[in-house]
Amino acid sequence: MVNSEWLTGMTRGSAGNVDSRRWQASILPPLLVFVVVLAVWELGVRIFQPPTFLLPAPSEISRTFFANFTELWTYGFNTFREAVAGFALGCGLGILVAIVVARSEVLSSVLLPFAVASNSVPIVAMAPLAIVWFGIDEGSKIAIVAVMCFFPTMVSMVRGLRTPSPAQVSLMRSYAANEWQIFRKLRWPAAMPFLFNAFKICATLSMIGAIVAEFFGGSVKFLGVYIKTEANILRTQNAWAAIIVACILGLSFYFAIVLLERKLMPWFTEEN
Amino acid sequence: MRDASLVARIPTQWLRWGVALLLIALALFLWEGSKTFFNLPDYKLPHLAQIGEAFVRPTPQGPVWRVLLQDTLYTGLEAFLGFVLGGISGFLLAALFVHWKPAERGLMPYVVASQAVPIIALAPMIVVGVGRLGAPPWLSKAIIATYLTFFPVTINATRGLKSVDRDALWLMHSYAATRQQIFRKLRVPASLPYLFTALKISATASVIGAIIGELPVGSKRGIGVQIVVGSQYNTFNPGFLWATIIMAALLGMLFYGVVALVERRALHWKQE
Amino acid sequence: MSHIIEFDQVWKIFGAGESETIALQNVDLTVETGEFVSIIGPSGCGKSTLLRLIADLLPPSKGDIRVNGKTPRQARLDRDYGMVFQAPTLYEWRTVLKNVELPLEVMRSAREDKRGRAVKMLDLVGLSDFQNHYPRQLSGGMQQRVSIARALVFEPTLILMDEPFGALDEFTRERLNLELLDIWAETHKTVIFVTHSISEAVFLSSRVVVMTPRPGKIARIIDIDLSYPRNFETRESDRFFELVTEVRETLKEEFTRGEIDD
Ligand SMILES: Nc1ncnc2c1ncn2[C@@H]1O[C@H](COP(=O)(O)OP(=O)(O)OP(=O)(O)O)[C@@H](O)[C@H]1O
Ligand SMILES: [Mg+2]
Repeated sequence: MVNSEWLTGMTRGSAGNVDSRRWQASILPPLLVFVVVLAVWELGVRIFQPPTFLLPAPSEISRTFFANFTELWTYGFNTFREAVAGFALGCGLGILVAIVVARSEVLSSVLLPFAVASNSVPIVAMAPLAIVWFGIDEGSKIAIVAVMCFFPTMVSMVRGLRTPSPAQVSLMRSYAANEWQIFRKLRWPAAMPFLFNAFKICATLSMIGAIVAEFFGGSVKFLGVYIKTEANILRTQNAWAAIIVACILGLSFYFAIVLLERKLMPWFTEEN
Repeated sequence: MRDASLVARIPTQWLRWGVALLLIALALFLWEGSKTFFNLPDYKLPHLAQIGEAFVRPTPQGPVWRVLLQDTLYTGLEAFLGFVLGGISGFLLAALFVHWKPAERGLMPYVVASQAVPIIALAPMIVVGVGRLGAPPWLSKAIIATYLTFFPVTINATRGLKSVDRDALWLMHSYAATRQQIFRKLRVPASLPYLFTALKISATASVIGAIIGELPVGSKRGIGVQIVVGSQYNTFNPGFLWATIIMAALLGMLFYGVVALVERRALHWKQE
Repeated sequence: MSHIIEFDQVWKIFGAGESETIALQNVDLTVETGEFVSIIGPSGCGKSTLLRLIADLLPPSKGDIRVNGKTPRQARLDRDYGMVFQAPTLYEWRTVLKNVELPLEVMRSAREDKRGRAVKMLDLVGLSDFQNHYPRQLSGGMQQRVSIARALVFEPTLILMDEPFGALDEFTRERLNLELLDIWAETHKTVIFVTHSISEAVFLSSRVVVMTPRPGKIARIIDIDLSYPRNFETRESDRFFELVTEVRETLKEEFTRGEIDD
């Protein structure tokens, strides 16, 4: 920012009209795009009449969405449950392992590169194995989601727990703080922003993981299987409606994490 | 200076490799150990030798490893095509965003939202739709890989292109530089670290996308097809499923590794 | 044209309404070709703003500015000035040599001799051995010397420097001051030099412009009648101390007056 503003104590920005300007700058343009895209889509489909399996009209999708409302949301929450369970399991384990690993400098510096490298492995491709191990139902999906969430959480958490500098730690020691106090008062708070970053990534990952794992097989009462079968029998409008459900659930999960973050760490305001 | 850092680095490098070997040895030991100890059936956990044997088994098209390699390369090409297309189009959109504010205002929210939403769920519809149109089978997979790459690249490239500080920009103005010069000589190089972060994420995502695209019935080639085949015949040939998954994992790591290597080359001016 | 810079009742006002800041108030200033003029004043008084107006990086709110007899915009388009920022502002992906070549690349001038001129400039600032280093491999002082070489390489008639040595230790700063005077003597440029340091201003300049705290006005212009070339002995001469005291007294007077006004 401009160099010495905060030093000279100059205040800027008039308080009035912030809302209306915000509206014009950040809400109106995307809304406009939304309306235009939807209109063009609808009109395009009406005029050119592509086969429904290729591109159903928005009106068609919304009709299906409401016609199959209960069905879609039941499937949606079935999948969502898997996602949340896998998220809890994977993130929980990630945190526990990180707490152990982060205690040792050598251990974390040696293990972290492997944990990071595991990002490059297409973990969802292991879904058939998970099915062999945990059955075709929820178990295998939860396992895949848990594995997908484990690594990012562990990596972020180790990094977070290790942010306090040795000087800060010795300062705590000089207060005669014990290990537990150092953990509670220094390392844990320092790791919170990292942890929530990982949570946000994992919230999305868990929905992706659950749906994609379902592509490999499972009961029809789940979103992934439903999308796949409906697409296969060319009832694409049903698949689109299911995707809307998936998007709403994905965004809700994400924003639930953001809300939790705001509540638990009000001092940590996001820059982006 | 350079020599000193090199010498200082060798032991940690060796340590890493040592630990890697140790971890692999430990994993193999645990593998066979737990198989005996828990008396796990072959379809759940085959002997390591069975996986090796699955690789060398002969087929009419040659040994299995060669067939798998061909399928992996096929998937790799689909993913690579999408990766390149998505990367280029994402960067171009970012360039548009930087030079034309309304485009960014209207579209960026959706690009960002795409990251919190399981867009990969569109994959079955794309495969079925594009397949119905009579397009070559690799096209739908490449399209999936394209959009999975496109969004993260757009976000990070936009951030990167905007990451130039005021003085760096003013320096260019003081030379009466053209917009094009500012873009080429300042914005693009400044954006590279951000771009590569996205490319590393996208490298794996495009492999996953291509594999997922191969799941729907009717696909004939690719490692995704082999994974499905492997899961179907798991009881008869328990090593084969593992072999296919190992190939998929290797493909993911190869993609990531190549991008990471190019990054190191391109960003050698950055501090390690 | 011997007036290289002319400010005629120039105002610069940032913002509007409640948040309005008068950065420069009614500034009149004339600089002759070949002069070394320092601008000194308390933080936030508008020194950087003044430089940015000359450089056409900001437009004035009122008044008229001439640079080389032209509008600042025309002077910028004609590449009449070179700017040295408070931070070195090197492009970290370019080697030292490539950084110095940057303006020549952008201006597409003298293509054949790009390398040669950049090398010569690096010689001038004593960095020929570091041509192929990257900025991160240099110390702060070395980086600032690269940025000076970069400002000189396309031979502008005017050099604008915004606290170029502000972040350096006293020792390095004094050495670079001497180097800068050498370069100035050798190249016959006009230099406008913003600084916080009274002794630096007096040591370098032919004139020192003292500014008042916000709103920035010119309080006084003090002629520095020490003979060039200057060296370490200059700093120990009685006249040097007298002039330093004079500048300090002027600053102090303005500062207390500003406080009473508020
Ligand atoms: N872009 C801007 N928008 C609003 N106010 C600004 C802007 N740039 C500068 N100002 C204000 O104008 C005044 C003068 O700023 P300027 O940067 O010229 O001061 P300065 O004398 O260079 O200070 P310093 O010695 O700390 O660098 C300050 O009050 C500052 O807050
Ligand atoms: Mg300043």
